[in-house]
Amino acid sequence: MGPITDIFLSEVLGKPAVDIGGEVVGHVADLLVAHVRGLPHVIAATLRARRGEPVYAARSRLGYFNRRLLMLSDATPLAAVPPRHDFGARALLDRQVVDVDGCKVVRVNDVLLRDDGVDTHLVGVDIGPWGIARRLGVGPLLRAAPGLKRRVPERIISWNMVAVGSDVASPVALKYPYARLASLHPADIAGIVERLGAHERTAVIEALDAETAAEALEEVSPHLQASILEAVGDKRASGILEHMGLDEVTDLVRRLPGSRRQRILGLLDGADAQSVADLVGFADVSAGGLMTPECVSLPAYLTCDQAIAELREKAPSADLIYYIYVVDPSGHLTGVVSLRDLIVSPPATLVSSIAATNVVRVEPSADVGELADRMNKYGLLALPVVDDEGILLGIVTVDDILEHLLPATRHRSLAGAD
Amino acid sequence: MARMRRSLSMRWQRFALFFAVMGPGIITGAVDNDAPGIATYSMAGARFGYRMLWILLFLMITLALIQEMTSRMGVVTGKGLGALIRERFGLRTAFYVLAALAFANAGTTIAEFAGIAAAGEIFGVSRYLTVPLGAVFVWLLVLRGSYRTVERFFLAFSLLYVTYIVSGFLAQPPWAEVLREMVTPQVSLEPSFLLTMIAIVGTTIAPWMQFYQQAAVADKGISLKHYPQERLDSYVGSFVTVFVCFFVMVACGALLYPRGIRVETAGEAALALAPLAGRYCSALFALGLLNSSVMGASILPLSTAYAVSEAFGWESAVARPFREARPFYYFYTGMIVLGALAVLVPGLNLMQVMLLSQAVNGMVLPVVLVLMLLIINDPRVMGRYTNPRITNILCWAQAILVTLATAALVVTTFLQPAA
Repeated sequence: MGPITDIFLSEVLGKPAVDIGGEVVGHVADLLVAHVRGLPHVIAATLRARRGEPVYAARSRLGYFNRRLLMLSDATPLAAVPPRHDFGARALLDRQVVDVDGCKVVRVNDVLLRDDGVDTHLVGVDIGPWGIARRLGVGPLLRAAPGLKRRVPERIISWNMVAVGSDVASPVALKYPYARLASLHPADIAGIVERLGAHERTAVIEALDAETAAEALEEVSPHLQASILEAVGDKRASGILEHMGLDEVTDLVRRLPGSRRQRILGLLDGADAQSVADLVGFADVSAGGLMTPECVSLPAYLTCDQAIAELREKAPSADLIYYIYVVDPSGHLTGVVSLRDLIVSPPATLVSSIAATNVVRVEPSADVGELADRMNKYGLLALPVVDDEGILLGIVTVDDILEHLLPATRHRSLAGAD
Repeated sequence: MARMRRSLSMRWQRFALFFAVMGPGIITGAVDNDAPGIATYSMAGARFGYRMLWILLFLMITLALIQEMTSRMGVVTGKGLGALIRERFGLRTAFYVLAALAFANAGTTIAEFAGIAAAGEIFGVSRYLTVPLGAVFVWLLVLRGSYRTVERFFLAFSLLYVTYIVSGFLAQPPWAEVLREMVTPQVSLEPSFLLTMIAIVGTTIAPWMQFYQQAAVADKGISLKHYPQERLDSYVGSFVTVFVCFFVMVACGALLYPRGIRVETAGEAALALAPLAGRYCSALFALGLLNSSVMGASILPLSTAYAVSEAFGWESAVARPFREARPFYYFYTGMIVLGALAVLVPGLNLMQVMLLSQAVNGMVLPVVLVLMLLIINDPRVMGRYTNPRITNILCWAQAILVTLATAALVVTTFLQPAA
């Protein structure tokens, strides 16, 4: 092993390759990389002569590897076919990749290689202004400017923190594109998805399991949600929809024109499709439009023990199970019990005896302001929505309200109507 | 009660649908009739009468084709034009193209502020008051994220240009002659004719429009299955632009050309509205000009900063905190400051600035057009949504014609420095 040197791909590209006789045999057009485990390593350089087909020099034959030139260590003829490799490092340049550590979509300005005299590894990608300067050929010039180097830092992401999209290279290297993203929070994944191109964002969603994909999609704007669901194929789409909250699906369906609505509804199973179709009828910013039918309700005649057993058995998919609503056989809302009360009460206590009967409730037409006022006044995380006859329709949770109360600057948007 | 709620919600939905139809294409088309646009059309009509009308038919078709291409690229790739240029041609090409775009857009931004200044001066308000006020207003408008809300108002106010259509009719132009000129191509090698012609092309098919519309389409995440609506949107947008342009030129051709008014000031341009508004024509014109200038001054810096940020991989969200999107904010603020300051230089002929900025756009256009054609015909990028042959032929012809006209302008200006 020799001294360790860091070299940027842009410094190598276009540089002459010299044989032992001092003759220039071609100029570096690309570095071919193999990626088995750990860091990818350079296995050959693609050399392009002024005319004729490119030739390939194996890394083992490159005696000397630096910013100015490549030196070949023996005189055997160069290969005319590329060795087995996973991708060309050059394909990374100018691509969008995901910085997993910073949860950001970035563009590759340059690729950092580390050479120890024997092996050359791909250790990171440059996403900073110095990479741009080097590519434009003004890097050395700007570096000479006093103070600039200190004030503007290099920005390099370690290769271990880079998630590369499906369009960069051969399927071998990237069998699981974007798989590294699965460890992120769904809201972060959503932010990334919104910034990627059409092929790439579909690839991200395809790389995730249905549940994570559903959670991430819930945070994405409705038009994008629909485009992605249409792009991933029907089977996958219904798998994802199944894991999404019904209120989110409703929100999605409501904002789509007719033809697209039918398509999304068609991907849901029958009962869910019916609920969503019903919910869509309510105005967007009313209790009816914001509510989800997924809430926990129990009959009054159960004991606390039975109630807990029932909860465990039904394992409700509702987001919020802190409030348990008491309903009569025809569905009228008669009371509410908190999960806390249910757990701390003696097992044989009847639910009806601990339920509060003066339940704060709203009509489907209640607007966001009204909902927020009620929640604030009574210190509630959710409000039950009942129809004219007092039948429980669903609940509105505080997070759904919050979204409408915050200023409308959350979504990046350049133009056009949503 | 429930029925009433339902019918209200239905009405709301129909209302929402109307705005949903106003897609990126129509918005871009409306913004296209901005201050320098109206100035250029007015000057062309006043100076050359109906002689330039023939360009319009040709322009409408080309504009429709180009805007359709750009929105197709946005739908298929979900990326902006700057990003596609970088991915396909590398950093260096992207850098030069975006630098040229920024230059042309800076010129247009100056022209938009010139429009604000001119509108103010019609009301007798000094530009040293209106321009800084306008700059601060625009800056806050976009950065506070409220631009999207007021966009609708801008668009509604751009209906003020309907007054040109009424004026055009009231002026009773010789319709037979107008129609004949529309289908009779004529070119003069006089530099002022060429300059005006390129300026018309440059203002109607400006490079910022492709960048802006594609970014807007990509941003909306429109899926391929709904592309037909998007295509219609591009076509309608192009029609709106050229339709207004036609009546501005006819009104100016009928009213100003015979009297030899050269349109050196915005007040003279306003005279074209005299048949409709009489002595209020100046006020009417000034309002329309102010509205479209503010709209343009908001969109141009925004779309430039967006395109540059996207291509260089910087955060470009308006809603992001300053710390995270620093280059975006610097770029955006810089364009506004530059645009406003340039107009405050004493002794500047505002109408002339607007015309020149459009000529610069006309020169950048062929470059953008050629890159677009190369990208959109690349199946690796577009899959099976590459261009049909007829679109390719027409667009290449357009690129060549604009290049020739630009070359002719440079050569003739060089040969006759006095002109």
